[in-house]
Parts: sequence; structure tokens; C-alpha cells
Amino acid sequence: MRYVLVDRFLELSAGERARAVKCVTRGEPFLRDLPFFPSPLVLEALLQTGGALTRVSAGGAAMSVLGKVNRASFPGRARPGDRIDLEVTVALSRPEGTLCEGTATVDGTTIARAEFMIVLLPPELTPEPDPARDEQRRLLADALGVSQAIQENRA
Amino acid sequence: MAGYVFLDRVLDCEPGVRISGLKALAYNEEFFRDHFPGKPVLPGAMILEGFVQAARQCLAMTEGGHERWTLHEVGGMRFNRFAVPGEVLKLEAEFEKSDNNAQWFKGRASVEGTGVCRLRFALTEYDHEN
Amino acid sequence: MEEQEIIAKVRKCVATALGRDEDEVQLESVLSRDLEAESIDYLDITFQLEREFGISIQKDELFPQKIFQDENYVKDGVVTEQGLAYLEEKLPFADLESFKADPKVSKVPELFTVQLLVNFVQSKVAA
Repeated sequence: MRYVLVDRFLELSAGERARAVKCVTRGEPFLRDLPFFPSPLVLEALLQTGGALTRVSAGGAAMSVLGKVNRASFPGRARPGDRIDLEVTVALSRPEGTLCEGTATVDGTTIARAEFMIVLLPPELTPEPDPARDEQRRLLADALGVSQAIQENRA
Repeated sequence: MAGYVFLDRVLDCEPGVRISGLKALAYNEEFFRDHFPGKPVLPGAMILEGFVQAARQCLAMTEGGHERWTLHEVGGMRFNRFAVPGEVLKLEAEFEKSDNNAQWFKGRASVEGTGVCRLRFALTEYDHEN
Repeated sequence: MEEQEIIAKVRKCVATALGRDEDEVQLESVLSRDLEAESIDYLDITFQLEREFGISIQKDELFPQKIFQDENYVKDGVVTEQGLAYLEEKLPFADLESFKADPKVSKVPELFTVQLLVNFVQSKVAA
């Protein structure tokens, strides 16, 4: 069971905002027969969006992790067949990491809101570079449209 | 309910009051491959899912209880250290209070007594149709 | 901004970051010892202060991490002359006199009280 909770990045504006989408399907092991997609994983989708935004904002840093969830609320839920629209903005940015605010919506209806801190791991805690693994990451980033999401906002 | 079951074992449960359980972290679980490549770490959101499932079970086991509880709010989730494959994570959740339809719990996750994370969260009921 | 207002807002920031009630956050409270602040909390407090007061806090300006990282600053668990000079420079509002009597690096976190944060904010806001 993979743990990639973002299907595509639409926008990655360093220091500002990221937009992405996640589709919800019964084919996912996390979902299957459940009536709706577990809310903690909607939060994870926001965290992964914020993580990508933080790394892009830091000039392509190697690794970011969740530092803290300040607060989160879940006014709604996503069902199989829904597409979740994810939007994360940088409230504050520092060399150590970012304070992010995120909103997840389905057809314009908010299903989740969160404020969280993404921390950039210092070099001594990041794994050694590994060409095969870095290639995998590059392929994944390509599949998720990362370069285009960054490009389109330089224009 | 199908989907991902977080807890491997319930250690003890006082229905509606508290519940504790264990999850053993095995490198075999596929999510470790993505989180993160070269540095497997249990995702915080999965720990949250674990707490939601545990609290749901705690409420379901009360007289006339049911499982139709969903995560409503998180009041603050703080991490002390990573939990990694080879460790057994212990979850402890304790009911705090009721507030409109929100049931608030306090939770602590630990590995051999050392705190991994602490949080407060609330579940809310949903109807069959939802 | 009046001192009382700064104190109230700083206590609110610390309480929010540490998930505590404001009454638990007193001026004398030592962040680590009394309020159980951990490393992530220092970052959160920095964010909360920046946001609340609209100030910009440079890296290491409020919580000088280098004291723990630079080998010239600490020898055998004791802060060196160089380390003390670094602390004096970075923390002009800290009460370093008592610290100098027993300058163990493990006691550096005790310098970080809510009062220190108030002093820091006052100087930033006055600037």
C-alpha cells in the first residue's frame, strides 16, 4: 500500500501557495468498503502538499517532515468517486520550516482545514544520497506534475 | 469495517472511558517505502488514524454504542520523536469531555514508555445515510 | 505597545504553542522545565510571536542553537568563555549572572523564561 496521498500538483509557488488534487477510489487499500475516506488521510494529503511546498520554497530541500499539527477540523468527508481539491498557503516561513494553512474541498465544499508546521530535516538526519532512490523520487515527482506546477507560476 | 486496521491488539478498554492498544511496526508495510525512502518513519497522520479507530472502538463498546464516529477536530498534535520499524507503538486514549456532538479524547503514543506523540482530538457521530 | 499588552500577548503565544491554559504561563515560567517545551515548540513559539507582533525573528536570534552545536562554545559540558560571550551577545536580556556561577550547557534552557520573551519582543517592537 503506497503512501502517496497527492495525485497531481497544479501549482507550487515557492513561499506562497500550492494547489493539488487527490482522487478517492475504492481501489485504494485505505478505503475499500468504508463509506468515506478516513479524515486523517485527508489531513495527510494536506500535509504532503505542504511538505512539497516547503521543500520547493527551500530551493528543493531533501526532506521535510511534519513537526506539529496546531489544529485541524473536518466539517465534511470525501466519498469514493470524489476529487479532493487541496490548497495550502505558507503563513510564515523560516529556514527551519514553514507554518502552513491548508484547506481541502470537494466540489467547493470544505471537508478539512488544518494549520500545521513542516520542518526541514537537518543534513545529519537525512539519509545518504542514493542514485536509485533519487531516480525513483524523480520519476514520482514527474508523474505528479511537480516541474510544471513550479514552472507555470514563474510566468 | 474494511479499510486499514491500525491496532494489532487492544490491551485494555473501559467502554466510554479509556482504551489502550498496540501496533507493531514492521518494515514489510508498504507505506514505509514512501515514508520515507531510505528513512522509514511511521506517519503522524496514521498515528492519528490509529487514535480515531481506538476511540471509536472505546465508544462503540458502551451499552447501546455504535461505530458511526468520525474525526471532527484535532486540538493539537505534537511529536517528540519518530516511531520506526522494529518498535511496538502503544496508544493510550482517554475520554475527556462531551461538547455539542463532539466527544473529546486525550491521547498519548509511546514506545517502551518514551513519548512519541500527544494530542487532543474529538469524534462526532454521523447517520447511516451519510 | 504597552508592556501589559505585550506580556498578555506573549503569554497567549506561549500557551497556544504549548497547548496549555494561559494561567499556567507565568513570567517566571521556564519554557523547558516548567512548561515542558520541546525543540519543536521553540519553533512554534517563534512563529506565534512573529505572527502576533508582526516582527521578523532571524534564525538563532531568539533561541541561539549554536550554543549546542559549536564545539568552541562548550567543553566537557561546561560553557566556555567564548560560549559565554556568544550568549551575552545573543541574549542581552537574559539573567546571565546566575548562569555564570554554574555554566553547564545543560542549564542553558533554564535561561528561556517567558520574561525573556517579553524583553525580546519589547526591544523588537520599540525598534
